[in-house]
Amino acid sequence: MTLFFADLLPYSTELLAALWISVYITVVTMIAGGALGVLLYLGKASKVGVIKAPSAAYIEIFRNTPVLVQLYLIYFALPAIGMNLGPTWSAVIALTLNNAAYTAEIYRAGFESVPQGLREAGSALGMRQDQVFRHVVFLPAIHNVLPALTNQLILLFLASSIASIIALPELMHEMLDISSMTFRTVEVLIVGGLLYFGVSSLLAIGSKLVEAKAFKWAVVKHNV
Amino acid sequence: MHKSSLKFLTLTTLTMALALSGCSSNSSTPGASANASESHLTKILKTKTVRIGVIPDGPPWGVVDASGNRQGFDIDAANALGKALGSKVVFISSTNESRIPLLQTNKADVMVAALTATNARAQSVEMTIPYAAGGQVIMLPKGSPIKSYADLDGKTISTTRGSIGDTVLESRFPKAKATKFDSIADAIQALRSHKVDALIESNSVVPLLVKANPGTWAQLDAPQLNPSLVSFGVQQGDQLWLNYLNNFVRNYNISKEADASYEKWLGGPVPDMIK
Repeated sequence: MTLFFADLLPYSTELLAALWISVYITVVTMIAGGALGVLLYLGKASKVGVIKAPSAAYIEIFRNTPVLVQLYLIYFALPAIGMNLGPTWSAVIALTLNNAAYTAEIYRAGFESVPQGLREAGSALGMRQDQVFRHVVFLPAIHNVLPALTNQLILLFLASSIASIIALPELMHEMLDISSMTFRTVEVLIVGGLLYFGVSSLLAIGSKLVEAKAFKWAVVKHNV
Repeated sequence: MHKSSLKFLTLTTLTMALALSGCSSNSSTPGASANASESHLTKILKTKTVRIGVIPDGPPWGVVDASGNRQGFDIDAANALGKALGSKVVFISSTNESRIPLLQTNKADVMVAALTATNARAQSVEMTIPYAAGGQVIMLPKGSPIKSYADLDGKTISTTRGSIGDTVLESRFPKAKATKFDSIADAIQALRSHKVDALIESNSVVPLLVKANPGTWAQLDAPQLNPSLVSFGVQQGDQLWLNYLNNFVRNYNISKEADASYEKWLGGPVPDMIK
C-alpha cells in the first residue's frame, strides 16, 4: 500500500505541542512518583505496624490494578465525592500514584541488594541508622537498580499515552485525532511511534550519562 | 560455547517460539483493495459468514444488553442482511473512529454502524444509499445557563472522535472547546461527571437519554444541526458488493421490518426522504 505522509504536515505544530504535554506529564510524574516511592519503601520497610501496613496495602492495590482503571476512577468517579479534576491533574495524579507503587518495589530490590556488611561497617564507625542510609547505602542501591528505574521511566512516558482516553491532548490523543480527520491511520501511527521512540531513546541515553557521571566509582563491569 | 549454556539458550528460544505459536489468528490478508482479489459478496456466499461492524455502546444504534446480546436499529438491519445472504453474522465491535480503518484493512465486510455518508468519508470508503436519516443536537445538564447556540462559545462540549458531532464542532462552533473521547459512553459519562458543559450527539441518541434521565438532562431547544443521511459503508473498489447492498437497502427501506425497527429505535416510521 502507498503511504501519504504529506497529509500530516499541516498538523506538525499540534503534534509537537502534544509531545511536549506528554513529556511534561512524564517528568512531573517521575519526580513526584519517585519521591512518593521512596516514602512508600521506607514505610513498608519500617518495623512500626501502623506505618508498615498501609504502605504495603497501598503498594499492593496500586500495583495490581490496571492504570487505566485507576485513571478512569480518578477522572470520572471522583466528582461523585466532590473532587472534580481536569484531565491534566487526573492524569498526573493517577500516574504518580501508580508509578510510586512500582518504584517502591524497585527501591526495595535496590536496597536489599546492598550487602549487609556495608551497613554493619557504617554502624561500626558510629553512624546512626539514618546516616548509614544517606551516606553508605543510598548510592549503591540506586546504582544497582538504575536499569530498572530507567525502564520504569520509559514505561511511564509510554504509559502517558493511556491518558488519551480522558481526552488529555497529549501525543496519543493528537495522533488519533489527526487519524480521524485525515484517515491516514498507518502514517500517523508510524510518525507517532517514531516520536515516542525518539524521546524514549533520549531518556535511555540520559540514563547512561547519569550512570557514567554519578556512579564513576562503580568500576566493576560484569560479563555474564 | 559451553554445552550447558547452549542448552540454556536453546531452551529459552524454544519456550518463546512455543508461547508465540499458541496465539493463532483468523484474520484474512489485510491491505489489498477488493478489486485485487475476489468480491466480498463472492467470499461471503462461499463461506456463509458475513463480518458486520457495529457500534457496541451507542443506543439506539447498537448496544450490548445484560445477557451479552446485541440490540439496536443497526443490529436489526445487520440481522436482516445476514438472513438475506443466508449467512451467519459475525459482529465486529467498532468505535466511531475505527469504522473506516476496519473497512480499509478488510477486518469487516460492511459497516452497519450509524455511518453518516459525508463527502469527506466517501474519499476513503464507499457508502450505500441511506437506511436512516438524522441530525445533531446538544444535550445539557438540567438547569444549564446555555439557552442557544450562541451561548456555546467558550464552553466545553464532549463528543466522540470521528463522529459527525466532532466535525460539526470543528466547523460550526470553532470557539467552543471540543473534548474528544474514544467512545460514546465516555462522552456521556463526562457530562454526567460534570467534566464538560454539554454533549453533542445525534437526534436518535439524545432524546432517548433525556427520556431515561428526565431530572438530569435536557435537550437544547434549537433546530437540528447538519441533517444527515446514514448508510452502510464498504471497502473501496468492490462494485459487486456495493450493488448488492444498495439493492438490499432499497428493499429494506420499504419493508414492514424496517418500519417496525425504525418505530422501535428511532421514534417514527421510515422517513419518506429515504424510501
